[in-house]
Amino acid sequence: MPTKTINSSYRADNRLIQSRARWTWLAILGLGLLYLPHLLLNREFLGLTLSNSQLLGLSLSQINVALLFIIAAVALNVLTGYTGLISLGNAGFFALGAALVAVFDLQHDLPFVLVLPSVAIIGALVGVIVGIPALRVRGLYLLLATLAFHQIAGYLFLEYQQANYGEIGVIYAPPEVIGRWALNSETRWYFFLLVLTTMTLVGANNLLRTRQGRALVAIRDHDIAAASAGIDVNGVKLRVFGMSSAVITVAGALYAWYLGVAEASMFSIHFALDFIAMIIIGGLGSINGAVLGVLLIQLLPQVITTVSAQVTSTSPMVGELLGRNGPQLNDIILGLIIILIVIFKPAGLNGIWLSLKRSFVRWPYTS
Amino acid sequence: MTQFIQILVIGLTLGSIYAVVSVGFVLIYKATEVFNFAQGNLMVVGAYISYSFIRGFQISPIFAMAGAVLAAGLLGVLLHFLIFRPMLGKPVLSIVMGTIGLAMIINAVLVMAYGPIGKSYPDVFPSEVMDWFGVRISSVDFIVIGIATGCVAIFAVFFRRSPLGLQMRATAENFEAASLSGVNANLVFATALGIGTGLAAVGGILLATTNALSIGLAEIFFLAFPAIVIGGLESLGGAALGGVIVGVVQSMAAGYVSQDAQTVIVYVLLLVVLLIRPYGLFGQREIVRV
Amino acid sequence: MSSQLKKARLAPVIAILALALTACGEEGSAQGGSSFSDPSQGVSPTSVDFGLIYDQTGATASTQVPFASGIMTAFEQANESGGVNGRTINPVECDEKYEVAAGVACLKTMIDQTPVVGVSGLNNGSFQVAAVELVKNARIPVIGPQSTSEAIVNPFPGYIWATMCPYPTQADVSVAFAASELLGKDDFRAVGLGGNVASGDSYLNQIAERVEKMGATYVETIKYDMAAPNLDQQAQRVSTIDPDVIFMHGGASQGVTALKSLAKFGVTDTPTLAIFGLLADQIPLAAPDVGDDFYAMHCFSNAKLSDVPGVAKMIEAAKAAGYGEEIYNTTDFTNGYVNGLVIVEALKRAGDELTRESLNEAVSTIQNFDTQGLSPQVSFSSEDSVGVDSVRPYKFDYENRLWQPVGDFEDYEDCNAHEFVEGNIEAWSPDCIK
Repeated sequence: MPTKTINSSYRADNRLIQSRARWTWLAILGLGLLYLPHLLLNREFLGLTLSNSQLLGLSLSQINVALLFIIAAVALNVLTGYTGLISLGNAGFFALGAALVAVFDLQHDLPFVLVLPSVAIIGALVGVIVGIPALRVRGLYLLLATLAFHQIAGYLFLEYQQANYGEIGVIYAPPEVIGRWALNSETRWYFFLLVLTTMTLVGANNLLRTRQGRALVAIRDHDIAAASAGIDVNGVKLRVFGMSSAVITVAGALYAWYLGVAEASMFSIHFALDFIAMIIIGGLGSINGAVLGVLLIQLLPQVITTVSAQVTSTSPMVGELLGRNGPQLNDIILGLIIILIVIFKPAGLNGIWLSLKRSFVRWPYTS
Repeated sequence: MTQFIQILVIGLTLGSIYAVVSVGFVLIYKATEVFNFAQGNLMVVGAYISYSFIRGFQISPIFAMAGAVLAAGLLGVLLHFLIFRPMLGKPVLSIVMGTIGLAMIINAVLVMAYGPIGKSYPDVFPSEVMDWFGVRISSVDFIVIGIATGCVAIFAVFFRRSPLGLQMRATAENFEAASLSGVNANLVFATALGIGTGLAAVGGILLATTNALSIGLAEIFFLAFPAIVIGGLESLGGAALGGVIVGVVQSMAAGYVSQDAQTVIVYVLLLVVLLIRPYGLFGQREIVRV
Repeated sequence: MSSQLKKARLAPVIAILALALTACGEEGSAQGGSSFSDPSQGVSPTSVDFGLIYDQTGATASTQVPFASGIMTAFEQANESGGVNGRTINPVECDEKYEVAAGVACLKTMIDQTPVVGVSGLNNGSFQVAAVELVKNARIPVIGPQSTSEAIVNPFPGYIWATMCPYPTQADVSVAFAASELLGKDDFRAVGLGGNVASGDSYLNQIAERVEKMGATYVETIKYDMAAPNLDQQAQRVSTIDPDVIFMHGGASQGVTALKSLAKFGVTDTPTLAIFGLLADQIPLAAPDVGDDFYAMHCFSNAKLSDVPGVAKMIEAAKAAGYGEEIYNTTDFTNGYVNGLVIVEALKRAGDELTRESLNEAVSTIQNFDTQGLSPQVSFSSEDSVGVDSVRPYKFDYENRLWQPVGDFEDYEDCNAHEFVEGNIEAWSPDCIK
């Protein structure tokens, strides 16, 4: 069996999923994802009852938040990882999404199928405006320009919230997607978000195979060289800002709906930085990386807590240390992972995965 | 008018603290190109160390503070060898993220060492209120401005006059040429980290004297950010001036617009500066070769 | 068959091994106790799971960690003496990080994933709002958020029981105490000093309402930013207005900053009355000149008040549970401990057939629950979800370095106008102190 599929036609080379083995794996993954809600809600696997620690203390609501974050992280990775445009504006776009839902759904009572596209369009427009500084500045200065957007968006959300909803924040009811069918249970949210996440992943993968997608990478690698190669650098930059912002704003809208409440302090700078951490840990410029990064950051704390609870029952001394400082240890571990990845594995988790895979494939001819 | 002068004085005090922290930040950035998000947390570390010296070891405040600045400087050198040096030359965003990882670790360690509850920093500066034609100025303000200006001045002399300072300037100007002429880049970087962290500690201690000492103090760093950009990432003098400008603008915004708006107005100023002079007021345009 | 495929087959094997390994870590215990169990609500014959959702790493960790420690101390104390109805109480913790999303995930997990019979915590205002619907649908009792906003009290929620004195009660006593005890007159001039957050506005509005009801002058609310490095401008404004009394809102950090700035601008002789968030030692210690006219309202006695009968037992339990002075000397710890005692009492009253419903039922029957001076007597009913109905002022005693209460909780009982329940302050008058 060849270790790499050799494409003998352009059509084959253009396929999104290139080998039969990939199809098999994707099918298994798909079945697993369909089974996941049952596993997590009923805590049993093929008749075998599983305890919380066997499920690593995970719950469906954490998975749902993770799916939402994957949508946003993938969009951010297209902007930052592929195009090289650094943005700290994520929390700001989440705030924008939450505010737009308040305007369209709560104040004007638009149907769900209209709210989401409107949110996306306005998100894209604001994204283009935020992207304008990207035409003049790059690198760190762009990071600071988007930090300014973050602050402004947070301030405007606060003013809007205080003017219309007062102290505690905007309160949302579960959205009715079609007719009376509302997103009012974890399982419904799960499948809804699973569809959206899959669409985002396929969309992003597709985008990167187009001429536009290659232009993004060219701009990241050298924007002036890209311009001399005939790429409309400014146009592409604004378009990618708009596209990525639209998706992130939609994620923000869904986030507000999912939580049922939105309040200015939710969209803090740390919230924005979390997304940067996700895409860097996962691997800048890789779609899979964004997914892996989200999963690590979202689910690691729960796993550490569960493991430390286990340790406590076996060795109280270590358990005491872990139990009292659990969240701090979580931060230290996460901080170390970030630093180690930056220093030793710049390609992130995805890079580690790829090199593992490669060494498996080439075994025993691996170094 | 008295109101205006009053607010100006308050802004200058705050601005002088921003200035010290910003100069430390820009120094590190110029030398190593590391955009250090952990600067705010290093500020807090300095303040906690001085707190330990005063409360734990009963050292007199002046020596305790000087000792804490020194200790923070050594920590900076250590961080250079552990974290910053291995990160050199990585992509900008990765480095930023690495320093955020560092910030997470610092915070967690501080909570484990000092507990989550804030501390009351001892009153180290004599407080005497002076009334000049209705403008009330406290002696604390003078002392804070004095210490901050003093530290920046000492640093400026070092940077301009000492052989090591010359090497640092040479390295910042042209890394390769400096290395070729025998400058020990490693020593330069370590010194930059040491001084930068020491200056952060000065800022942290000055802040702690008017505040409860807590982990949350690090958040104030997000106001030193605009100071750095407004001055220009490349310019030490610009950073100092940027700090003062931000302090005054923030103070004016709080006094004449609203408390909620003070941060956002500073950031709007930042945005305007970025759009008009993308490389800061005193920064230099980057020339890119294809 | 290539090596690639062999390797690929290893993956599921490894996964199963890992699963088996974690399975070994599971402990199984079965001995004595009750015969009733309901795993879907965290109740087994020998133990009961109770959820604690609180901020362990976020902006409010400094108050919530001692609070949760207090609850766990009460649990351990109950477990030491044989548990409740033969069951040991097992706290299930979850870090809410002061983020709504994390809090919601915690709560959802505790409702059906790692089920618990009841929860405590839910201290962050926005999270409370997000939680109200979830709690109602799941019919799970929440005993004791550390803060009490109107959203969780009015309309009567049915499943949320508050053991913290709400803002209006503090405003009731603050204004009455200032008028009749400190100033001795009705025509004073007051200013408010509050953070630019929702709770600051609502508290100072309640103060203003009462000041105006009694015919005195409320000059203005001076706002400050919660993260401000100093409060110089605000202090300068206060010194210009030169009021008779200052009403203050904020937390420990803001308190230190405020007092330092007030001292800096020479506002040292104006009586200042603050909310419970400002009852921390570091505040008066930060500026003794201001601190000697500084009062903070609270409904709990902290561990340093050795003449309060309940304190000795609380300290003993705290030490047994492994907490140091740093943690148990705080009023937040007492708050948690009292809250823990109430939970234990409710678990007792729920009896052998412990379910969420029976526990919730049991809370509403708690009447005049005596905490031996640690707090006012705690009373709930099926119409009143606020258990602690009285506060008293505290003043810092520099000699002994502790907060001394001014009078007993009973002295201030009549001041409470029950604004959240009644919807108005008709019942309030400044001459309510016994």
